[in-house]
Amino acid sequence: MITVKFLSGLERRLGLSDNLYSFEEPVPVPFRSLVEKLNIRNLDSITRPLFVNCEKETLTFDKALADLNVPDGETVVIFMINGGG
Amino acid sequence: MVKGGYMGKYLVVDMTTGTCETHEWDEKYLELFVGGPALGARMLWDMMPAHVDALAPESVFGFLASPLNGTNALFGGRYTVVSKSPVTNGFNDANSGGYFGPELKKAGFDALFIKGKSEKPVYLLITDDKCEIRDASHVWGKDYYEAEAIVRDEVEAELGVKNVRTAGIGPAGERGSHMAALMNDMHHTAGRGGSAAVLGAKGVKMVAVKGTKKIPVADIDKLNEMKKGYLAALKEADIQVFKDSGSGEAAPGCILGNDASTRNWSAVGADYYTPEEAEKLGSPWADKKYKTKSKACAACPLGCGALYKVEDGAYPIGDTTRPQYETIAAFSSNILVKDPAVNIYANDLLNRAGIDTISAGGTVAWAIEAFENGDLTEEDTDGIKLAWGDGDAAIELVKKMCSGEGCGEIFQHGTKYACEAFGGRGAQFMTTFSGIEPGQHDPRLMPGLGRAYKWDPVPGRHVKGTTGYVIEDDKYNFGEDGPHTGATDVEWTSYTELESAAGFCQFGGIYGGQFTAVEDVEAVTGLAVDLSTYGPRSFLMRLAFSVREGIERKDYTANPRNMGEPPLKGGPTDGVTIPVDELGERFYEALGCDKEHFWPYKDTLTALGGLDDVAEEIGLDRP
Ligand code: SF4
Repeated sequence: MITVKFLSGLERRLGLSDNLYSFEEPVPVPFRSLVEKLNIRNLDSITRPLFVNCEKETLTFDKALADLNVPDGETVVIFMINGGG
Repeated sequence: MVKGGYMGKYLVVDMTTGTCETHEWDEKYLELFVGGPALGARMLWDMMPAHVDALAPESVFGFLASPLNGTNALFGGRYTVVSKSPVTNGFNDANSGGYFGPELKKAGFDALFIKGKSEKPVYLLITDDKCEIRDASHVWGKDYYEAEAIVRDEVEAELGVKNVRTAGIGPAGERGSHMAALMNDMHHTAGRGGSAAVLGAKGVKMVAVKGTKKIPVADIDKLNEMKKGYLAALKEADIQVFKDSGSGEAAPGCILGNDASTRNWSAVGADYYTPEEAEKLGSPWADKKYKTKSKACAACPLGCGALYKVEDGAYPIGDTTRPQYETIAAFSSNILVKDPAVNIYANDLLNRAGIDTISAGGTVAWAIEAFENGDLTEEDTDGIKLAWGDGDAAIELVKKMCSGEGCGEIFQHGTKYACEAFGGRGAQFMTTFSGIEPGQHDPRLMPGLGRAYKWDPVPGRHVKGTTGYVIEDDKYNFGEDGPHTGATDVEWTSYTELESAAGFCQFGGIYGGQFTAVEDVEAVTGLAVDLSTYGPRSFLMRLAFSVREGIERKDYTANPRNMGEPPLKGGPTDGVTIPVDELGERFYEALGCDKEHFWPYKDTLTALGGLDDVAEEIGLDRP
């Protein structure tokens, strides 16, 4: 099973209802296909500041879309950096 | 012509003679500089001789309320303090929210400048068109929270009013700590650059203000229309998490994504923190346990502040305030601590002492690394065994800074002073910019910050204009065809110059949508703002103060580590190096300055208008 988790209310900005999603998939599964399954409404407008953490590594969202294959049992964390303050 | 936004007067208080004088503005200054840092720099230029020590009686400290303050312009509650910095020996400005700025205007004053030195501790009481100097012996030495409560209660009882607003210093400012932060309205701080040491050197503990006047607005219909627009944009933006949990909601992402410093800017956050550990450091997690109340600055629909009550964990300190993002990062990933109790307690200790939490966290990180490397020993730290991830040891060092006792006599002044006091030991681990510890946002992720951190007259600030606010789709292009041109940098900087002058909170800009500080200022003051001349004039006025002090290109220092030399391995900024000198050259060239000193040409200054005398004194002849 693979879990996708959104931090700090990002799911709402992306038009999703929950911050946690589970997928039973043949693994490893490309990150891109998880994103397609999630059917994220607002993705295009805020792709650039998004990051993905998986297996103790953080990648930009674009890099994860291109390269990341998620192994079984992993949690993929998606978050945004928007200034902090 | 100015039609609103200003009360038309400022106060000059001479602590040596014990006199308060009211002056009328030269309206030209308001038109040229609008408010905040640039207006403050201009006033300091006029009022202070060059080359005086920052803490000398001749040095001037200024509070500047902003044109938006008190007008109900949303997000327009911030005011500015200006002085010479005891750290950089150049210009310093810092700003803060709360209610102090609006109240100063309600009392009839746009600004307050303090010079001289009082023989005994005093506080100032400012009421409608009046200023009094009062004895403050009973609160001198007390922590800021306590002192503020005493002064506020006694003034409110005496005047029979509520909501007296205050700004002042903690014990650190009294001692001249180079990290001393100006505090106001309990937990708001204009923290950076050692400003409060300048006020402390004058013997001023606090300024208490109560006013009843109305602030004129040039175009109230426009302002109301903008208010509606902001509120509609906020609804769209889904700001509930920020509203509930403040800037600290960003901490987990910034730690995992390498925006926050990890291990004194030397490492990758995700190598040390799991997502679960990072989440525990975000304010949404701590809010669930400790939040008792939300707090907002004047005219703010977001309200990113909060009060906490902490009754469990490593430091059950009771009532306190919620740390902002900067403090959380400075006292967590920066020193590899995972327990949120550490940043909450450090925040409380430092606010009470009146010390800048960003600089204090940077100093602790430097000390840990120097200690680990054997450059500092227990002899230097009064027996504290500093180590990465050891929150208790970090808190012990913070307590020393706050008391100024033992090794705290040295550490209370920040990294640069401490390193020099220890004979330069550990200098290779200093991650300061001209002696100022940077904000908790990484230039390797937001390259334009590198230019601002290193080359702004007020170094190490994350609010001073940047280009490239986020990583550029995995491709950094620093070529002339990329986004990091001098002209773009000047454009972004011009906007942040106006934001500061206006007293407009940058969170308003991030979440507030269609309107900007430009429209706010125009609606409130009736002035027409041309950013292309305002921005450079504002920046160069701040720069001019430092140039007159003799500060030039070679005096701006930075640790190559912060720019990715050597580059980090892994994480989103893997392999990134920022060509910060080149970015600085492009920026100053676009501004009309020379490459050797980063000083403005005479004709640059005269072309901007209103700076002829400045040009005469510090302008270079163009070759
Ligand atoms: S967003 Fe926060 S800091 Fe900004 S004005 Fe509102 S309460 Fe103050």
